[in-house]
This record gives sequence, C-alpha cells and structure tokens, in this order.
Amino acid sequence: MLPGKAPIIEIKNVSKEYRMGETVVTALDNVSLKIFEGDFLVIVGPSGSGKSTLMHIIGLLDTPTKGAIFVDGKDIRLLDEWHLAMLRRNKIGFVFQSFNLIPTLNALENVLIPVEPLPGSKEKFEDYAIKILRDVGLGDRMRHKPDELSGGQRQRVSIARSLINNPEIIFADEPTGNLDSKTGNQVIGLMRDLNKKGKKTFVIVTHDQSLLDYATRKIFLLDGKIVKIEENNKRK
Amino acid sequence: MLKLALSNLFRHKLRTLLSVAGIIIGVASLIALVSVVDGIKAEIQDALSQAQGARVVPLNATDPIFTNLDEGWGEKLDKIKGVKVALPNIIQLAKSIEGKPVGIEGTRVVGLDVVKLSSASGSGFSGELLEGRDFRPSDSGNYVAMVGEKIKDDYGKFVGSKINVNGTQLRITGIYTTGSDLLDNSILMPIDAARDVTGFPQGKVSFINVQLEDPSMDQEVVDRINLLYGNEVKATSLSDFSDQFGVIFDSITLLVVVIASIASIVAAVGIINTMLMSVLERFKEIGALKAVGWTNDNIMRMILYESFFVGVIGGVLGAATGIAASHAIKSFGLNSVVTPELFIGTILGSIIVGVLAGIYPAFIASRMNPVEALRYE
Repeated sequence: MLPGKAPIIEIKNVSKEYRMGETVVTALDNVSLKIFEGDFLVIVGPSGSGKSTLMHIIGLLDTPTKGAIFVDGKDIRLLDEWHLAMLRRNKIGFVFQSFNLIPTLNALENVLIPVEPLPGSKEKFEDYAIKILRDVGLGDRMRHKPDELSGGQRQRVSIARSLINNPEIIFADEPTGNLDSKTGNQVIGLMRDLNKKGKKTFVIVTHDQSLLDYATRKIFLLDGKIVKIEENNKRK
Repeated sequence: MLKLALSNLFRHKLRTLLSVAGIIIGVASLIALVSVVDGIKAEIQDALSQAQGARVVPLNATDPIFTNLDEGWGEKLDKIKGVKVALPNIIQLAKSIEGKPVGIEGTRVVGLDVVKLSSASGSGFSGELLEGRDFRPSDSGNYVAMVGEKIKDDYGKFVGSKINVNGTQLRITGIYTTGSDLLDNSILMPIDAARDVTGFPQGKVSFINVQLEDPSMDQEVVDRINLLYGNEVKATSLSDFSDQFGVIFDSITLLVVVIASIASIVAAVGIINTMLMSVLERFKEIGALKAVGWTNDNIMRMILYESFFVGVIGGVLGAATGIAASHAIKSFGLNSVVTPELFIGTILGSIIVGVLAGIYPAFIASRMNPVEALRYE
C-alpha cells in the first residue's frame, strides 16, 4: 500500500443488520476498509463473524444498512440494481467456495459465462478465455465438463471465469474451503501469482488461518467488527 | 444464451420431457380434432358446391329424408320465370344392400324423374360418368340404377351387374363419380323404382330440385318462389345451404378450439410448475450469475428462452404427432385435412403458451437476492 494512493473500493462506517423474526442481528458493526490496487487482502474470522457479509458488501452484491461505499471515489449508494450489475461485470470477479460452475457447460463455456449476455461474446472473448485457461494450467481440460474435473481443477476454472472480464479486483469466498490442503495451496499459489505478476487485486475471505501468510494485509474480523489490521512484510 | 438455455433443459431430461409432453398432447389432439372437422367440412362443401340452383321442400321441413311433397309441384315450379326445369326427387336411406343392413355410412336411394332429366343439365347427383350411360326417358318404370364409385368399390359392381337394394333387384347401367365420397355413396334410379324400393307414398316426392336458366340468378328465383308459394313450401338456394353448413362447422371448430385452450392452460400450468422447480433448484447458480455481473434482465431472458424452447419442442413434436394421428384417422375412412393455418397456428400457439408460462418463473428468478442465494455455502 502506497500512502496517498486512491483506493479502488472504500467502505466507511458500514453496518449491516438483519431481521431474524423479532430480533435484529448485527452482521457488521461500523466497519471501515480501503482496498488499493495490488492488495492481497485476507480477511479471517470465525464463522458468524460477518466475513461473507463484508465481502458481499464490498463486492457490490449487498447494500449496507448504514454507511457509505465508494468505488473509484464515487458513492454508489444511489445506483440501481442494473448499474451495480454493470459495475460487477466491468470491475469485479468472484470466486466461490463451491465453485458454482454450470454443470452442463464445459470449462471454456463456463469461463465465458460472465460475458455471455454481451452480444458476440463468444467471438470476442473466446481466444482470451483459452489463454486464461492455459495460464491457470487447464490448457488440456478446456472441453471437460465440471464433473469430469477434480475439485482443484474446478476452482481453477472458477478463477479463470473471474478473470474473463479483466476485473480490477477479485473476491474469493473460502476459495480453499472445499479442497484438500495440497490442492488448496496450489489454488492459493495461483491467486498469489495472479496478484504478483498479473497485478490483480484480491480480497479473500476465509477461516483458514494459513492463508494469512500470503496476505499483503491481514484483517481479523470478530462479531461484525474489524478487531485488527496487520501489514504483512514477510509475505510468502 | 440460447445454447445455455437449451443445455439447462437437458439437465433433467425426463422432467423436461414430461412438461413438453403436456404441450405435445394438447397440440396433437387439437390438430387431430380440427383436421377431422375441416375434412368433413371440406367434403360437405365440395358436395354442396356441385349442386346449383335451388331446392324446394315443404314448409317447416327439417331434412328431405323425413318429409314429402306433392309431385305436382314439379309442374307448378316449371312455370316460374328463370326456372329451367323443376326435378322431383325422392331421397331415402337404403335399409339393406345385397341383403346386408346398411350401417352409419348411410347409403342413399335417390329417385329421379328420368323423363324430365333429359331436359336438365345433370341430376345434381351424378358428377362424371365413369362407365356405362346416363339415364334416358325410356328408363322410366324400369328397375335400372346408376351407382356412385364408392358403391362400385364397396360391393364390387360393374355395368350390367345386378344390385339388390332393400330386397329389390336393379340392373346397373352406369357408374359415376363426383369426387365426393358423400355423394358417391348413392344409388340413383328412376323415381317409380325408388318409390317401390323405399315404399315412398304414391304421388309424393321428397323435394323438388330446381335448375335455373341462369345459375347466378338463384337468389332472385328463390325469392320469387317464396313470394308466390311461401305459405306452402320453402325454397332455398343451394349456395345458402353451403353457407349454413359453414356456420355450423364454424361453431364446431370453435368448440374444438375451446377444448384446446383448456388443454393449453393445463400444459401452461405444467410448464410453470416445472420451471419454478428448476429455478428454485438453481437458486445458488442464479445467485452466482448475478454476482459475476448478470443483470435481472439477463436472468429473465435465460429463463424465458428455456420456456420458449419447451414451447418450440412441444409445438413441433405435437404437430408431427397430430399430423400422424390425422393420417391414421384418414386410414379409418374419415376425411381429415391439416391446413397450413392449423399447422403453423398450433406451433405458434404452443410457443406463445411456453413463453407466457415462463414469465412468472423468470420473474421469480430475476428477483432472487444473490446474497440470500450465496449465503448458504
């Protein structure tokens, strides 16, 4: 993080409350965070600490009850659902714990899913999708369907999918949660390479403390609050 | 996105097939029913179009088979301006042919005034002579018959052979065809022979077939007869008959369409159910699509494409099944016609049903909250 540099996404005093029947649950309590280009943020916390909620809010999927979100310095609170979808399509990539690939489509077609609604997307993006798949080590698996791929390969497809729109920032929710430690490490290694060499910004939410070693900044979340932010100078 | 929508349908092949089956059944039965109605309608109109001029029946007559009229009306009507010749006719259903009872196919015995026929342009029954000869005045009083091609085929007759009608033997002198099975299912004979064969009262006829000097003047002549004798008989131009049949058949067609509409609603409910199930099942997947930048409209479009395909597949397969059914019906002897309007209309209709049925599930899918969907990892 360079001092004085403008953040890509900033959240300010964000709170999120849910109503569960009669009681109000506070998932996030007055959280502020800035994400800068080149960051590799790892947010850790036990389950129920508000990690996923935080990621959904920074990822423009959810709206806070209180507080503000700025994307490239612009307050997005007034944007409607369509504009938020456009921001997600143009700036953001998502990687999920359970991959969320479409089972009837092969790896290549899955990678093209985010741009599928765009006219002529196949012609425009196919070569790029092939290149990404090769970069993530799936050059020989492009025509395979998800059920013909291992868990690690599926998560690579999912990472490739998050890259197709050339996003500035990629959010990953428990990306290693469904993988054994060896393939989990490979997937993390891939994301780290994309961060170091590809200059992609990552925000990773996990309860797996071992991922903290790769972070540029470690963020500790507990009961909806950020309890600690640490710069990591001994990054793997 | 079309390909994606299509591939989504193939995830649960049986389920898709069952909801498609709803449309197939609806479309196929609609085509089969309407084709039969259209076929019978075409046959009757074809038969009617061969008859020209007017028909005179007793007042309040329902069907010429059940009424009678004094034979003397023939002479009276001859004198009316515009009438070329007024032919007395007897028409009755045959009770038995060759000793066998006649079934629902309703072979008719038609008695014609063979003397007056010589000054007429055809009898109104016999279309084209295939074999033998037409009636001539000297046939009057003889037991001779002209039979339609259907009778010839059904009973294996030829010119010169005998045919037994209601127990009376007649000699076949000619075979004709009108191109209409309805009309070809008749046995024509001199009027006296017909009275004898059917037991029709002496001096009575079923109706008078009025031939005109100028066929286009039928309405004028009909008006003239009804003006002069309207308190005793009723004249109807044969083009009116044709129109009346059209009205009757239009209401039958309407009934069939109402039944088909009910079938479409049932099919639509099936599609709505299937699509809702499939949308709810893909809750997380749709959430993920939203997360990666799909708009609500994109989601809506994908689901509508899916139900559109259900409509297309159901429509095409249903139309094919319907045409096959229509051909099968034809082989049982009922006429059936699948018009291009029917074919295209049912396919378009099922596509519309498919898309309409997809609107609600598509709406539900597009409004899904992605956070809700992704929360349960």
